[in-house]
Amino acid sequence: MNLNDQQLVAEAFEGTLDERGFKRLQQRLREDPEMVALYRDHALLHHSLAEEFEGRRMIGASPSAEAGTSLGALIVVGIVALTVVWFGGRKLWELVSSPATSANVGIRQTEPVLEERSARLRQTRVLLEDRFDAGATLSGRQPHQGASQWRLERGGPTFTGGRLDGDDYEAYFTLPADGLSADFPVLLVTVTTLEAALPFHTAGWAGVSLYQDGYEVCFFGDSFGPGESWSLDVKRRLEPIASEPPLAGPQTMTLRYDRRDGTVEMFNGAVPEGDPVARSKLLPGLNFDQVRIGASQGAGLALSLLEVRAVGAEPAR
Amino acid sequence: MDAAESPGEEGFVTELTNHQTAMLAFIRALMPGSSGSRDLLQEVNIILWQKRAQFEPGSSFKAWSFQVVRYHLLNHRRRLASKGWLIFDDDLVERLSPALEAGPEELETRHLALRHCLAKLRPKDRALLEHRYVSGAPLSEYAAAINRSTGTLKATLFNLRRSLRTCIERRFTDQGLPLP
Repeated sequence: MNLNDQQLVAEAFEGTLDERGFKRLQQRLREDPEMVALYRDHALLHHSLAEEFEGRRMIGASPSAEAGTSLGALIVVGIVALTVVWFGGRKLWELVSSPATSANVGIRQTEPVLEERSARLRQTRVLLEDRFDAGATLSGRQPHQGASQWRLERGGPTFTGGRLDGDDYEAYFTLPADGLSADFPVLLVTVTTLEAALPFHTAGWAGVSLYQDGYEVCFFGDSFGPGESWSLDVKRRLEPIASEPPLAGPQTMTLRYDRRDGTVEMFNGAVPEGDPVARSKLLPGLNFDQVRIGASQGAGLALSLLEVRAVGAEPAR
Repeated sequence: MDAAESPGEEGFVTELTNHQTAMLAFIRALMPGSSGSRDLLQEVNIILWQKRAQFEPGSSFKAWSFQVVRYHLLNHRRRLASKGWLIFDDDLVERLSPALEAGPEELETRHLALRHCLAKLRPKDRALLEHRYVSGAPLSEYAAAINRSTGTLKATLFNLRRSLRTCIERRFTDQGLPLP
């Protein structure tokens, strides 16, 4: 592929190609399959860049010509709004990501024999384990297991009565870059919460998040909003999925993510067995690099355990 | 059963929602450099909504909706071209379409890879890309503001895109994911 071809394609997506150049581009696309592949690459990159930066603009930056002249966004909002009303108040997200009531959910595992259980345990890598039973401050704290330390970015939760308790705080822990891999494709995050000084369920949020490349990808706990149940939030502008049955207050919960197919499930208990109480999809192949614990202002999160493990050799579901 | 509760229509809304980004990417690929992709997407959304009874649950929404995009583009070629937008010849639209189609999962994987790669760029390079995709103002204005020549910025944009494509490919490889 020569430089001229690359410049031709680049100019096409810059909107600077004249009629003659466009004819040349079409001719090259007709005669060379490699040119088609190059064009596809550019087209998808252009699309991703536009989505990335236009998305930010929609959140709060200045408008552009395209957005300013577009009536379309209103139409989609209209269709979606119409649909939400049309389906008798059933929320759109329920249609997109149904919780554990559908037929393809909850393939119950048979009880493994001891040998199988031992084999599985041998194939577990603990990426983080913190029992929060004692300590001075969370900032810089080395957990019981884990190759990093806690980074407190907001607030000041305290260690009291064998737990970490606080509101209006955010703390991050960096996970190993190779935490998940082809050999260890399943991530388990287990959290045990206790009564906090402030309520866990509020209009704000309190819980645990997984991050990749600085972006929050998945949250479980008490999601932002009025619901008073544990919930799973896979972001992507969808609403959180409340646990089914509804679970409130102090619990031990386990999040399971399978990078082979992107399945993410929330289980009540310390192991991912039985039917999940919430289930959704993320992209396959994710490799989370941070975990966050925290709560918004006025919401309390008290923890006695947080454990993040990578598990191998478990058959895909 | 009330039509409002039809499971088929629930499924349709799910499919329509899930394929918004994929349809937009497809339109952008068929109308390179045009600023009206989102407007065209909304025109197609309305058509799909009007034709929703023709969609068979269980069949490929992607194939069906992309076909509607293609026909809409071809039927409205003159109107769209009058806005100065570049639109491929009919035969090329048909020939290129299969190669240009990308599903929601591929697009999301690419987007995550792009974010990873953007994080590695120098702040001034990110600022240039942001200007290009956010402001909508001519590159010459930005060049004057930062005391550079327009030609230099064009060349920088060209090199940035090339670096990003390479980085995305490497990201796919590192994660053991197939690059379509």
